[in-house]
Amino acid sequence: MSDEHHQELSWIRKYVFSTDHKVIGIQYGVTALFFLFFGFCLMMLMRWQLAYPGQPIPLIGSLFSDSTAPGGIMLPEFYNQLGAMHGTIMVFLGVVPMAVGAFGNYVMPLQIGAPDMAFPKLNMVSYWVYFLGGVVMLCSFFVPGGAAQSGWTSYPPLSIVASEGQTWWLVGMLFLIASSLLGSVNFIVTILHLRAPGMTMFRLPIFVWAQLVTSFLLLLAFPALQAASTLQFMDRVFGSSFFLPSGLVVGGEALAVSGGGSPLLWQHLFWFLAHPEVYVLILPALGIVAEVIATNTRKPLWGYRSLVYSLIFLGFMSFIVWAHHMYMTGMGTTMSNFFQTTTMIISIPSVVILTALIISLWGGAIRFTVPMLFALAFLPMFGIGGLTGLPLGLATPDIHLHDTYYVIGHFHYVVAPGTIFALFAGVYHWFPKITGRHMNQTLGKLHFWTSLVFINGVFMPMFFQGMAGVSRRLYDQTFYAHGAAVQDLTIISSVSAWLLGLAQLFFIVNFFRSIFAGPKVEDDNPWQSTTLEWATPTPPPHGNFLVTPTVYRGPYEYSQPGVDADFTPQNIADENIADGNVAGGGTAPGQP
Amino acid sequence: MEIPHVVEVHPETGVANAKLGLWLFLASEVMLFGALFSSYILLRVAAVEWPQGSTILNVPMATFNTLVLIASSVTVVMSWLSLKLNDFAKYRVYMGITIVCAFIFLIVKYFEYTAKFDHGLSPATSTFLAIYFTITGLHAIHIIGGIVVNGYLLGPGARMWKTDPEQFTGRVEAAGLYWHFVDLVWIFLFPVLYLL
Amino acid sequence: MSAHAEDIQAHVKTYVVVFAVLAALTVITVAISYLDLSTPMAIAVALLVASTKAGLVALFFMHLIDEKKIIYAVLALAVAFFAVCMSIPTGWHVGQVKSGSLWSSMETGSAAGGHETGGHGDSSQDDHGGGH
Repeated sequence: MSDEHHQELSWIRKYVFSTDHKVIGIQYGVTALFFLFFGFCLMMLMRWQLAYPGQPIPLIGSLFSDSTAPGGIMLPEFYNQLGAMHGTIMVFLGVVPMAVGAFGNYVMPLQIGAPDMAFPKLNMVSYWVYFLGGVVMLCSFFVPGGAAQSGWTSYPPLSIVASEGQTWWLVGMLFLIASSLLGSVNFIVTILHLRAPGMTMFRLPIFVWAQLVTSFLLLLAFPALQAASTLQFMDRVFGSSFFLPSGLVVGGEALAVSGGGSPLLWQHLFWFLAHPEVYVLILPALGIVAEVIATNTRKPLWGYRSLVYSLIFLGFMSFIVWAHHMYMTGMGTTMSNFFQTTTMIISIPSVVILTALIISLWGGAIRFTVPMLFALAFLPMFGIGGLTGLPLGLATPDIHLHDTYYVIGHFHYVVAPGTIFALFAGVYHWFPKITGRHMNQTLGKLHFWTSLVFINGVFMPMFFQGMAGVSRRLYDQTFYAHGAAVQDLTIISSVSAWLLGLAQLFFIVNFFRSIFAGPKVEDDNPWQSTTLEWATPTPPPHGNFLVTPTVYRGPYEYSQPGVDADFTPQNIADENIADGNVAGGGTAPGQP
Repeated sequence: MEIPHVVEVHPETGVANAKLGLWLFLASEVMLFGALFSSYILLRVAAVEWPQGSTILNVPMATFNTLVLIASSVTVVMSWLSLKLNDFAKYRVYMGITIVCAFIFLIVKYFEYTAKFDHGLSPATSTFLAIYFTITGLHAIHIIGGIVVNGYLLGPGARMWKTDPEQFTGRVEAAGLYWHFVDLVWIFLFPVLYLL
Repeated sequence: MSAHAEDIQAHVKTYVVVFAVLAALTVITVAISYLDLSTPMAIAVALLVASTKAGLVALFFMHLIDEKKIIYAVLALAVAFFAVCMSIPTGWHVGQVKSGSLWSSMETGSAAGGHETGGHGDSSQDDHGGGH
């Protein structure tokens, strides 16, 4: 330990511009939770327009300006803004920062036994660049014409002739991409270089593996969107025509541009990022679920190596499936054939992972704690999301389902009751380590069961709507006879969404109450878990471990034969097992 | 608290943190410029007509700039070598020349750009000019980034030479790698945009 | 530090030689561009020269020639995904030409009509021959 450890840092250096990975993780977590909540609110507004088109928004309708919802009745332009920003905020400002920025930052260095990230200052910069990107995105609501309204995918030519908000969207994206790049370099170097003695690659917890693969995806996929955003920025600000074809007519008038560009180019570049991005959303979630399941079944994860290889294979394959989002663009059957083949192949490792996690439950002494409930619900929910994706991955059924509510239902099952449930599991699981206090189990269970029921109420009807042919992004589906026929489903979905919002109050109350008044954690390892993050004091100090841990075993040695306790932490040497010196975490077991 | 492997290499990978981090960053840069090159190819293949670069752009100026960048690559690697030899004065000379070269490159680029604007040529004129301005502009931003980093290592950052020479040498090496990469991108940009 | 004086001298010599070769190649590639080569030939030659130059920079200035395995691994990943990225225009082109895609046939009224004619001036010329 150097002397700077004892030096008292100023309040700003300690909590605002901190270089401690744990503080940065918490900053990411708080900001991301705010954005998740904000994005959720945008969606609840949209659901009103969808369920009761053309009627004034109750309660808060009078708060809106005349350019968004005059008299509380939402304008189509405003509806489009809500849609585009809901997607953008949830993906780029909510889920990824929560899964990678918050959990990755906080937990990963602890799990590998590192004192901090490899580049602590870079880590701080990456948070603040993300924060700036978020501010830019929020500001865009207040520029003339409002925020971006061309969907989170920002397809040209529409996005290029759209109002000023789109330029802000592009600038915001450039910030977010820069932040991800800095973060991913830091993560990879940390995982490769800062592992504690004895922590070989195949002793890494699955969560760390998931973060490693995710970081590579961010590192190598995001530049494509960086390039695409730059090109679109040029189109909008400097009048170039990268994505504008010749002879484009907008509003009855020929557009005064040189033309010669290709709108499809954007789609290729965008999905070159955005499909790996889907795995950026899901892999850390799988990692969290693996940790929670191992801890709460009291037995080793089934197929550790298959899980690792599947994660790596998934990472590779995710780079060559992007055009399955583009079957309807007329890119030709040769391309479609290629991409539907790769898409079917990528479903294999996903199934391997899910199967391994389900088999892990077999014969376990399952503890139905709140994080475990969320992890258990994740499995079938992610399963529904994945299986409903297969018809979309095949070019022929996609002709019918493309851009309908079926697609919305499919990917929301993956990211909402999938990833976000896993994130909740993570919050409940690591909350005692982060704050030193327990969350309330009763409120947690209420939160879980209500969320589970209502979230299915939101997304299940969408499959039927989609199969009935209702397109996504419609301002008012009752305008069409086939839409009006299934309007009841829309109302079910909307009411469920609002109830789901209410259900989150259980979480919000529990979260804030527990920070200040939750029962104190008595033991550094309250879940009796095996991984290294539990071998630190609670909450971990700057520099994390009192003594650099040495790792003697794999990450999931639960209920080992010949051991009294039903868990053997990674930092316990074989000769110390008999001492029964298993429980004490912060006291650096294994040391004389 | 000390971060391991800031200076001493990792036993498994054989490199220190900064070098691994920098190469990862360069991998991401490869993808960035790769995506732009890929866009260039797609736009060119799809175009009805595509001008030969030399009919619009100034080849002599760009040739000169290519030589300037190559020279700066030599000087930046020499500055690192000087540190290895414990010759701090020489380091400053070589690093100084590197930065001067970067400025010369930008000044030439400025004249190229203004000449285009004076003739009414802008990104809005044609897809070729649009991709020319975008890629070279992005490359120029990388040059500016390099000037900032190298300037820091020549100025305030050089204090570290006294306190921790080994880490400082590592930083200069990393900055050098980045600078070579900027050179390397230009080596491809030059024929692709100006000559073909 | 660790390096010996003779080693350093050898290093300096390498750098100077590489610089000279790079400068010469720059002049050569400009000179070739004044020859009246066919477009595919010109592209092939220019890219060959550029790749040689890039290789020299990477091997000697960036010291790849005696770099560790991990750096090669990182680079291999980048190269692999770079190749995937380059398949965007290739695949796009194949899609447009080989299968007579939906849109191009609707727009031009023939399966392999006007849409691609612009490409004929380019390196892709050979691709068209077999298809028709």
